[in-house]
Amino acid sequence: MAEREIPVSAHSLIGLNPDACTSCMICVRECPVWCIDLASHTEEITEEGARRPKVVHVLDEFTIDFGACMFCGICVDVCPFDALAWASDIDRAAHSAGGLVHGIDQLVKWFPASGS
Amino acid sequence: MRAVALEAWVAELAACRDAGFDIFDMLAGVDRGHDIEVIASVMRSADSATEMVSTLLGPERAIESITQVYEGAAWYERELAEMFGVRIVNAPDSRPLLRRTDQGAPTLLKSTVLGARVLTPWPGDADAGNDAKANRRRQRAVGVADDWLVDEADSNG
Amino acid sequence: MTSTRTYRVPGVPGLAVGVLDIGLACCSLEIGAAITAGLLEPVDTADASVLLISGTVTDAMAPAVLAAWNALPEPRRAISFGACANSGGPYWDAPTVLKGVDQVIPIEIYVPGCPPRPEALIAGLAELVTE
Repeated sequence: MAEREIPVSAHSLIGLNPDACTSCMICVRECPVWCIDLASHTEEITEEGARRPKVVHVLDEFTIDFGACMFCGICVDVCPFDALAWASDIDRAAHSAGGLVHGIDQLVKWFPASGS
Repeated sequence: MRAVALEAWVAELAACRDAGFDIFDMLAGVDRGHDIEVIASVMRSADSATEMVSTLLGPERAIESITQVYEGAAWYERELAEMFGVRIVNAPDSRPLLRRTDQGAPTLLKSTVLGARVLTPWPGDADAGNDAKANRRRQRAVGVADDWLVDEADSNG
Repeated sequence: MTSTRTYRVPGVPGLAVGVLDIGLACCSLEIGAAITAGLLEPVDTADASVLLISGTVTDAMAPAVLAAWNALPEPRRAISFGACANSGGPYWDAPTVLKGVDQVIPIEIYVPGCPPRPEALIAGLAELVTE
């Protein structure tokens, strides 16, 4: 029995590119089940020759509770910076409910390398 | 869809039956905010025609049972009663259908507050960054109606 | 809708599980798909030892799930399949829905998805073997 290929359209896993994320919070606010948590802080960057420092958002934490996630893809669709994407892999089981909550370290591994 | 007067509800459905609409499809309630609308849908097996009839309940929130005309409406009327707090007059069976208790606010009324959404902290309330963005319009959380949350500061201000 | 069957799992050599499948909602269709796709092969013997809960567990159904768990002979294990069984899923806010089947029975494996693919079920069953 041959293994079936899992298409990206299968809505199995969501990955994050933290470099693209600006902590705009749109995905957090649009999620229907409230399963995304995001924490960030702002930093001032003084640039040579600039009249005033630039303020940037720095992403501290980004977690998705895949136990609650209903894989609708609204977060993927709504991110203005394409920081969220589907990964073509099957859902990953866990041994505890907490084990289904994944942070940046895991989400970055699931972000498709080539970008979709 | 045809709107009829509440007093003519049973007569109108009887007229449908007499016009050959022999299959009862469904009966549903809709919370229009200012009123509750009840919609009945019937079908005619001879030519697959369908007919939808609606009425508004007004402040009494009561409607006459149509089970004398369409027996199949019984379960739908039970569901209408428990989900919208509607009284079915001459109901052959007034037991709840899906809800396990007749206590508590009717499930599908817009005025019924979904406690879990009100009490659970919304992740979207966390402001981006540690700067005070006091001027940003506070966005309403997904799944929470406008009038569920009353900001004490707003009501005093 | 429950069925007690024993299944061989071709994708996990050496694994044969008796599965008491409590299919409460849409996730149960993926269990059916797993069987149709040959990912689970029914075999003729034995009692269930794994309770597979797929779908939304309501307050009304919780006693039945507990009774099914209690009726399983030891050693017994339970798998939660899908968002509703894991946490209540999209219905976490409904007053009549259990926020996860682990509120009533101990769960060893949680398979995320809404619904998870049949392959995810096999991967979850494989986790039972590796522990």
